Amino acid sequence: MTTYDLALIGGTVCGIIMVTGGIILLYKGSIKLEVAAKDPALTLELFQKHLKLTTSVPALGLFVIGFLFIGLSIYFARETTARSIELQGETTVVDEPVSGFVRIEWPIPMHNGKVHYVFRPQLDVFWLNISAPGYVPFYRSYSKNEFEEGVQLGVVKLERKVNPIKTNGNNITPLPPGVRSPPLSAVGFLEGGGL
Amino acid sequence: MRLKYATTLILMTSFLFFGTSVIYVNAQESVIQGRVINAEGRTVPGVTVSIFHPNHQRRYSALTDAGGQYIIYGVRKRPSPYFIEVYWGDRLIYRARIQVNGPAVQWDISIQ
Repeated sequence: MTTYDLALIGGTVCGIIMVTGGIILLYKGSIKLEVAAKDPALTLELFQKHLKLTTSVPALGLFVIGFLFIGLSIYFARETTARSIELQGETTVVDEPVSGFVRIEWPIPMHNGKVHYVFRPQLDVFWLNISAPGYVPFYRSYSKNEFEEGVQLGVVKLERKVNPIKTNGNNITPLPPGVRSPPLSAVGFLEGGGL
Repeated sequence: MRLKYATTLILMTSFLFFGTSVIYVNAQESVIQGRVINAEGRTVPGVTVSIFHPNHQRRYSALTDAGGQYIIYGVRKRPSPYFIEVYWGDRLIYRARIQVNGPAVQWDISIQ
């Protein structure tokens, strides 16, 4: 739990205490929802004096401030939606199936081989890998200022390095009876080679 | 007296909480790495190297880089062998048994 999380929880708890306390005080009669005076008894100036709240019922102030605490905590704790990034481009004509994937990375601070790191995912850099069997893969990283307006790849040149491998089955150890090879899509973890 | 009971209760709860939150970290995972070469001894880029255990329908895969190198992280060590496969696109070109019981396994693949 980070200081930010604690501040959010603290803000919510304060707000709840103020509202609940206000209700209790109203119930006990310590404060009353009555007009205190003709002049405004409480004035709140918010957002650099752009918003001004005035009331002649001072007890309402407790609720306003309490709900403000709760509302702001909920607002700042909201789940931030990931923004979309558009990738466009094509590869040179290759006679093999082309695959591609994007990888997002954050550096993690290590201290003598130990790590304790809490992070809020923010997309600053992503890696793009486009490859085809026998071709030299295309690797490139894109930083925030490069992908903000989308990424135009243009024509990605894939260069053939080796010819297709033809096998006669000697390289393939048969599976024991009852064992099936799971489909390639059943990937638990995909690594990008020497990235 | 009440204060004494309260203090004892807080201390006991604290010990219980911290005692149960000790995490035992066991190095149960391995890294498999190597390179893929063809019959001419040239490294093969862009092929998928994938391993799976016969008892688990889940793959760990990697693509070879420009130098034919691959690295597969986070493979759980098991007493019985895995199968390691190489795919040219979606065409199987290699399969062998591989024992994963150490922290790192070097497995170079030569496809004849």
